[in-house]
Amino acid sequence: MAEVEETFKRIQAHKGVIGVIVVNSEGIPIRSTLDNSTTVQYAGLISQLAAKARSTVRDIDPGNDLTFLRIRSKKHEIMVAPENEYLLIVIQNPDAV
Amino acid sequence: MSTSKSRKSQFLNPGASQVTASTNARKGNVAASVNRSKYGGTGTMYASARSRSNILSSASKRSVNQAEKAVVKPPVQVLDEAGNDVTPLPLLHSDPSAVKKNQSNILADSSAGTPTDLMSQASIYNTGNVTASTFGGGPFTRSVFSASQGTTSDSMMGEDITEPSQDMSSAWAEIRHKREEVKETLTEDDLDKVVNLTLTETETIWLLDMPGTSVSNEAEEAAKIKKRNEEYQELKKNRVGNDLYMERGMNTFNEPAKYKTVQTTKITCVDTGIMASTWDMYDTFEQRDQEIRAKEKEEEEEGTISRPSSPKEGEDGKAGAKPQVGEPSGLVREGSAHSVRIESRATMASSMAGSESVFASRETGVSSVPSEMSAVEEEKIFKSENFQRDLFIMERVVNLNTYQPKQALYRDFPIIPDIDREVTEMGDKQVSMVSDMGPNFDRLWSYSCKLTNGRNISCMSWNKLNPDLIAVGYGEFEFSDQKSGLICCWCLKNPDYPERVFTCKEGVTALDFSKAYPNLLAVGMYDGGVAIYNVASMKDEPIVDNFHTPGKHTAPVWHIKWIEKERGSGEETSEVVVSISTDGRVTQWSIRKGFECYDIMKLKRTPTRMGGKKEKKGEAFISRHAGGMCFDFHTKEPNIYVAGTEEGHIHKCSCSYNEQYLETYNGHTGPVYKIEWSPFVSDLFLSCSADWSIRLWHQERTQPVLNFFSSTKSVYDVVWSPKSSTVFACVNEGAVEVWDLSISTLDPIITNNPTSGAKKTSVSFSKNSDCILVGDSKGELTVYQLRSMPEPPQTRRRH
Repeated sequence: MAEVEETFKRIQAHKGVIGVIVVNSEGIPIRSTLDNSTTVQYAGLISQLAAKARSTVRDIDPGNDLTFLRIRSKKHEIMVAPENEYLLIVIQNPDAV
Repeated sequence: MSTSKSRKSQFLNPGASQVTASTNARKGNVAASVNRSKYGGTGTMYASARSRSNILSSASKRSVNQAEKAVVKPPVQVLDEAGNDVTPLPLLHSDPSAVKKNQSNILADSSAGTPTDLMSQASIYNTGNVTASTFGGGPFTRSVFSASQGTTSDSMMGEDITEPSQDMSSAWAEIRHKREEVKETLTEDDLDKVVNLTLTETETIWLLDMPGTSVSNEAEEAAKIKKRNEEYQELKKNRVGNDLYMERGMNTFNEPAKYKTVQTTKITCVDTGIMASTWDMYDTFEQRDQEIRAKEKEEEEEGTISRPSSPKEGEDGKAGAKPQVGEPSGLVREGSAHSVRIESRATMASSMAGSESVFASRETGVSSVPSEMSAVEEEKIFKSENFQRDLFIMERVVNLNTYQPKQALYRDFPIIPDIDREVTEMGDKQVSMVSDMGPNFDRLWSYSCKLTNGRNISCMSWNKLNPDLIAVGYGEFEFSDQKSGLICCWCLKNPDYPERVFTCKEGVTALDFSKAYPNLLAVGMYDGGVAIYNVASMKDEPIVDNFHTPGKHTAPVWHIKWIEKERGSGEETSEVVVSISTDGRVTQWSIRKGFECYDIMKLKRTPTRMGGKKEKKGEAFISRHAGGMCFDFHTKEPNIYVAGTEEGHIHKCSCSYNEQYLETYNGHTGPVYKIEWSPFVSDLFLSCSADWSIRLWHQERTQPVLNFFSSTKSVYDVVWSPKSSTVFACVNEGAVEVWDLSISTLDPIITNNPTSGAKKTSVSFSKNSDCILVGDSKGELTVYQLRSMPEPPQTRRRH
């Protein structure tokens, strides 16, 4: 458990990381380093997108499954690790000094 | 006829309110007489205004007689002036009378309507109930029977009317009863029981019977009917002017209409939309298969085929990602019980929302989730293995984002340009300049973290199996500065934090990864301790150590290595750990049983031979042992090794002799910090020492072949390049130098003086890339990429 906390902190403190959000299976954020409104927004939108992405992957081949999702945008990159029970979201701006 | 008509009329207006007692009595009598005629006087009289209630009471009596108690006696009784029971009866009871009314009305018109009416009314109570249909059949047959008889004899009509209705009311009571009974006995378990369904042919249900009004001439009754017809014709003729017959009008009572309303529970209608996606169906089938397999395993001995999850098939297309629904018992749970709970909760939410999307329904369910649930969830999620793994991967990914260009350089991949980054125009110029500079370094990144700041890097070792993993030992060289030691395993993919951290009480001075067991790491410490760690585990303890064995070194272990020892009798080669320390012993440790040690050699002081005239004098030695600083086993002959001492001598020894040296090489005037055989040329070895020099020796010659003096600082480490036979790198206190003997033996080809101010203490080449790793006394391990290196000589083959 302490390891988890440590890793969490390290990711948070990494260069360019804007925020880390953990969302449960119902779309409710459990842990977040961002403010409430942003968190809720990200949680809802990303959950939907992750579900859609997973649905797409599995429709093509039901034996397959989604393991990781990365969205690169102009300003930053959103990385999502989707699981059945939760969703781990990290927003990073890799060009940040 | 008239009597029957009057009787009929009486029965035709059951709703009429009777005021006079006489009429009541008459009615009651009539009814009673009817009853008596039917049931032999067992029916007691409830003198009541309504014949209907009378019938009912008789019905109830009948049912009582039949030992079936129907709830007939209402708790509240209403009596009119005559003391008659005019209690309003429950609405349901009106059906028989209504039916009876219908029946009597319709009988005059056609008998066809009755059975259907009965059927429709019976159907209300007979939903899918096998037993009731027989009851339904009963009234039908009897009513039809009565109907058919109605045309032949009118006198029978009254009785016939009452009979079926009575029967019916009793039948209703019975039906209602039966239905309740059936309802009660059916429980959950019954769903699993083996049900025997017996298919029998029911009695013929007459739906429509239209008896003809004409009879063929050849029928038996034809004559009788003809006669009757003729009589009727005559009657009609006679009637016209006859005094016996008078036209008379009659007033029939219009029955007051009474409206009855019935209230039922609201039938909720739910619209569900379902989209079955490919993976949804796949999931469901998978699940079902798993369940079947699990159940089959469970019930192997019993031999019964459990009912396959047929409810599942009905839910094949259930909305969204919720194929797991319902039966909690006997299900193979995938994932934790917690996840099933979440899913079932979400399922409830989704089913309530109907055709809404899954996530919309989740959001409506948000408000209903209590806060304690989320705390428990959070913990469970955080503790799960998946989460740890995901965090781990995420960290790597985040790092990748930051370090991708550098890591690509390391691997010699082309760099993916970041298309969103603004491109400066200077870029092209710089690139060309760089390539003109000749061989040089390029600093990629450095491994350091909070833990390691301020610690001196004393040694490094690459993992033999995973060339991206390097173990770094942190420990001070000076006696005065001793701190606790640290071992960190760094990986290429995460330059920010080591993969493993092991803490030791004493400073770490030597490290080596094993070849045969790539997860074992041998560690030598400042207090002479030798420990073996297993890097695959996260535990912070060594698996074996020699802290308490008597064979422990009494002085810092400066070098440690895994050596493959061949046994004489052709057994498998086993690996042993060999360590050398300032107490003059070269010790071999084996981990086969416990941690045994065996001194291969005790380094003795040799008097230095001054060349020339002076003879050696027997000097009195303070201690017989020379401190050993480093050693290296020969690449080709596993029994031969060279060891460097604190005094500057280098001795070639053999494992077979533990007293004598094979050879001594004199040249260094200070402690020899590092010695290494060339990986390409088996007879050459390099040594570096605190006397500011690096020397190249040949096995056969006691004098160095080449000496390299490039600085005025002691050289801490020297290492051959694994790629080129003429290149080696060394670090002295202030700089990193790369030498190439094919180009120059006087100067290094690259000298790099980083201005960080820290002393450089160790250097190592990377095995799978053109990079060099330099550790310094501040705890930073920097990765440099060598560029524009000269080509390795083609004639040298790699051994």
